[in-house]
Amino acid sequence: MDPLQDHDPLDLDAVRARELLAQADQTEATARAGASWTAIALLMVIGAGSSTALVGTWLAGADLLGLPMSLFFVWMAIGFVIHYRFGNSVKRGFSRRWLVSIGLWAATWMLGVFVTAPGAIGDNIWVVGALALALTAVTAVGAWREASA
Amino acid sequence: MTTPHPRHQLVEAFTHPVRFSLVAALNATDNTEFATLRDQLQVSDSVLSRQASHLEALGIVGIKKGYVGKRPRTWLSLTANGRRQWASHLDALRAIAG
Repeated sequence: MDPLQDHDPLDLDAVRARELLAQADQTEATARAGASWTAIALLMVIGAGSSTALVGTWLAGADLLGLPMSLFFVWMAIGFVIHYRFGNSVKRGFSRRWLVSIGLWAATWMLGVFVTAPGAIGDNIWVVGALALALTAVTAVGAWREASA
Repeated sequence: MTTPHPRHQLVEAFTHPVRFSLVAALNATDNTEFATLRDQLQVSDSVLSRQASHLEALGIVGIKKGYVGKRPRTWLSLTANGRRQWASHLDALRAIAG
């Protein structure tokens, strides 16, 4: 026992225990509040970029397909760089939630690219619109879950 | 036979105020960068470094060093053992609080 302390730190009364529990709750809440914001922003960039790129490539046609896709990849790169550079903390359980969100987005994106290709089964505005909405929903829910975690 | 008092389940490593706050903050995250944690806990680099190293030696905190671009960064996280011990410590506090 530290001779400078007037009591054994392991000998707590109920009042002190409640104070410590409140302090732990407050510290955890503060840590959560500042965490994962770059990942949340990145998910929103991916959702916005991929959904508009899907509609954009369909509207642009084969000749101009590269323009919306290039813009999408530029925005993806910006999002990843900001996440890499400024992401100082991620909330507990982030890895699992991130894999689920990115996995669902990747599956929806691949479906969108192949199904809406010229001459494919989904080569019409309704399918393109539905898949763009699905991309938006998947990433928005992922961002919401991360913000709420 | 009497039931042992819950204070016997308290983890001595967490009775230090900086270590207590450090572990509480890390418990909310998968990992946190050193400077972010230092600012949140409002302690100096040396204090945080000393207490984090103490907890690392006990197998409670993991410390990973790396670079972001050319800048060195240090990341801290709670180990699985650290999360178990912290949960046990909080359980003991709740039992004492009644």
